Parts: sequence; structure tokens; C-alpha cells
Amino acid sequence: MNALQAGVMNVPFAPVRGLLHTDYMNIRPDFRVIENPYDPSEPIALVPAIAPDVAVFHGFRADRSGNVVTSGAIDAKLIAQASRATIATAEEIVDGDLARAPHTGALVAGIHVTAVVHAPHGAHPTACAGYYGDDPTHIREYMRAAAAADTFRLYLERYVLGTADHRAYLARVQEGRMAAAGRA
Amino acid sequence: MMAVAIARRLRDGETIAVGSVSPIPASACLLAQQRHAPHARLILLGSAEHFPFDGGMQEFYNFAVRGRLDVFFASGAQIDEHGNFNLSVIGDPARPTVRLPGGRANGVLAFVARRLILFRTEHSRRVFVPRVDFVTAPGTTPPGVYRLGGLSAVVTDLAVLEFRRELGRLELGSIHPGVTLEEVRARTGFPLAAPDPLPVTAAPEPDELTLLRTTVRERLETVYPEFVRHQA
Repeated sequence: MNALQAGVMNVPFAPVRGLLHTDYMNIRPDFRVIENPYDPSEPIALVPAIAPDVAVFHGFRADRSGNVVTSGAIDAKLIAQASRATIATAEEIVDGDLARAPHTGALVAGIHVTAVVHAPHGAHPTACAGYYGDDPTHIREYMRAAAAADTFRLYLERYVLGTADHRAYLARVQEGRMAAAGRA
Repeated sequence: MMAVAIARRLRDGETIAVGSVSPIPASACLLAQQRHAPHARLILLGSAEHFPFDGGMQEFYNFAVRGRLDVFFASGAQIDEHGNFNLSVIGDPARPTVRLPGGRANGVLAFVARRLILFRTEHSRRVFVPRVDFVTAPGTTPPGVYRLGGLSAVVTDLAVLEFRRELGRLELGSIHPGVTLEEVRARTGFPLAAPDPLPVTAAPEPDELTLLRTTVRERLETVYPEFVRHQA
């Protein structure tokens, strides 16, 4: 969080109170310890800023100026500001100006957004509040597949590499469901 | 039992945050709020209703690092005698056998929450190990390190272990009704000092059970529908 906040502010690193004497300091050579220059009795951890080239997040609604209303819990505003380019996928594209309409959730201003993609069910298999819940059946399938490299490759071929777009992906998920129901 | 034991450690007026995937501490908080802590402020991560920030996790995180949490809850995949806990990786960190999701903020929150309470439904030697594979957060830190609080206790399905900060180690605080000291020691992978006589965790009162089965259950269902379904 400190690292992303540093990215937002375009400073190279952030001091963190915490992390000292944890194994994160051992596995991350880029995490450093310095003396607090304003109080040399305090050792303090430094983490490098996170400033991604591209950020992607999913929203509820987007307008044609790139304003996006999304869940307040995913820190989209922070990620969008830390990144050089930001792509938002959204359940709906709406006419009008979302920045001037009352909303529930967080508003990411269009000035931070590079591109908007209309992607209904774009959060699948996770939930999109107010639109659909999560899909525990598919999440379990993913978890089983992700346990080993070869089953994960099969998963990727079936759902990601072997589908032309998100609509085709959703159709394949549905197909598997029908086949399973037929067997039952 | 665990929820009741945890609820009794919470005080009225406190600001209490529960990490995600933590239905038992969440139950404990809701129970305490219904019973003896009506002015406790609850933050349940993953809940829309019990999340007072509109600025997302960033606002919660910044609130926490300013030292505003009286109590924070986490689980522990591994916990050792010195109160170090691991929520990051099992095995060699370079080639882990299991990678866990809890590392994210615990390397910071364990330093800034005034009292950290760990909960674990499995009291076993797999969990209570001589030395954790990875220190997500240490039980104690040397003087000079910025630390507003730290581990208070570990609550399990068998017992409550108290962290003695001055000694830097976990000791038995009480055992739950029907559990023996031998059983707890046999299932703990490090020497566990115990007070003599050894207190038994007070059993749930009838009104606590009633609350857990009614109001608490209803409120919990909005955050943890799957958990509530499995408790039916």
C-alpha cells in the first residue's frame, strides 16, 4: 500500500513502519533499512514505489469520457493513479456524465483512465456487487487446475487461449456446466 | 466456544478490525457488540455494511497504520513458541509447497494494531511448530523498532494461549471445557508452560448461545453466506 502510494506521488520509495524482523526483509533484497533521518534512533524499512505500466480494473458503469463507477473496496482509484496507462472493463457503458450523477461505490475520474472496454460478466468467476455473485463451481475448478503445471496448462488452453473473447469464455463455462448437469 | 472466548477479550468502545475470511472472529465481534460492547466499532473486511470507509482498503490501511486499531484478528498457518506467525509460505520460500494469501498486510498490521489476536480452528503440531518456516510478523522486536502493539493471544479449538510479551513466549492461559492439559501439550510442537491451577475457559452462557444462533447468525450471513450454511 505504501509502495502504491509512492507510485501515485511519483517518489521512488516509501518508508514503512513495520516489516522489520520479518522474513520479507530477507526474501526481498529491494526492501532496505535506513535510520530515520529525522530521528536516528528509529530504524525504518523502505520499499520501492510501485508504478505499473498498465493497470486493469473492473467497474459497474463507465461513460464515454472514461469516468468509471466501481466497487469502493478494490482501490481502483489508487491503482489508476499509480499506473502509466489504465484500462477499465465495465458491466455497462452509459450515456451521460457519471462524474455528475449520484453513485454508490467509488468514482474513478476519466482523466485517469486510458481505455474502457464493455465486458458484461467481466469479473467472472468472482462477484460483481449488484450484478452477480461469485461462481464457486468455477473457482473450485480453477483451484484444482492451478495445483499442478500440466492441469493448469489444460485450463489455460480450454478457457483462455482457446476462446476468442470473453463471450466465448463465458459460453465455454456454461457448456461445461450443462455437460456436468447431464452426467448427474 | 472460540467465538465466545474471543468475544470476552473485546471491550466496549474499542475499534476492532477483522481480516477477510475470518467468520469466527467476526461472530465474536458481533456477539460482543450485542452483549457487553455496544459501542465497539467493527470493521469487517469483505463486508459492505461493516466497512466505514469509502476510500477502500487504502483508507482502512492508512487508518490502521496511524495506530487507530485497538484489536486486529488474523489466522496463522504456523505459529511458534516466540509468537512469530506465518501466513505467507509453507516450506522453502524460494520453492514453497503452499503459498498463502495472508502475507499482504500482516507484516505491517501486526506492528500497529494494539492487540493482535490469532485464531486457529486446528490445534495441532502442524500449526504449533518449533520454528515457523517464514516470519510474516515477529512476536517481539528489539527496542527502537516502531511498534505500537502486537500479539495478545492465540485462540484455538482447544485452548487460549497468552503471549507474555516480557518473556517473548506463548504460555497456556486456559483450556476449553472437556480438554486436558496433556492433550493440548501433545498437540503443540513446542514446550508450553501452564499456570497451576490451570483455568478452564468459561463455557458459553445460554444467552450467548442464543445470540450466536439468532442475531449474530443473521448478520454474519450477509458477509459469510457459505460459512453460515455449513453451520446449519
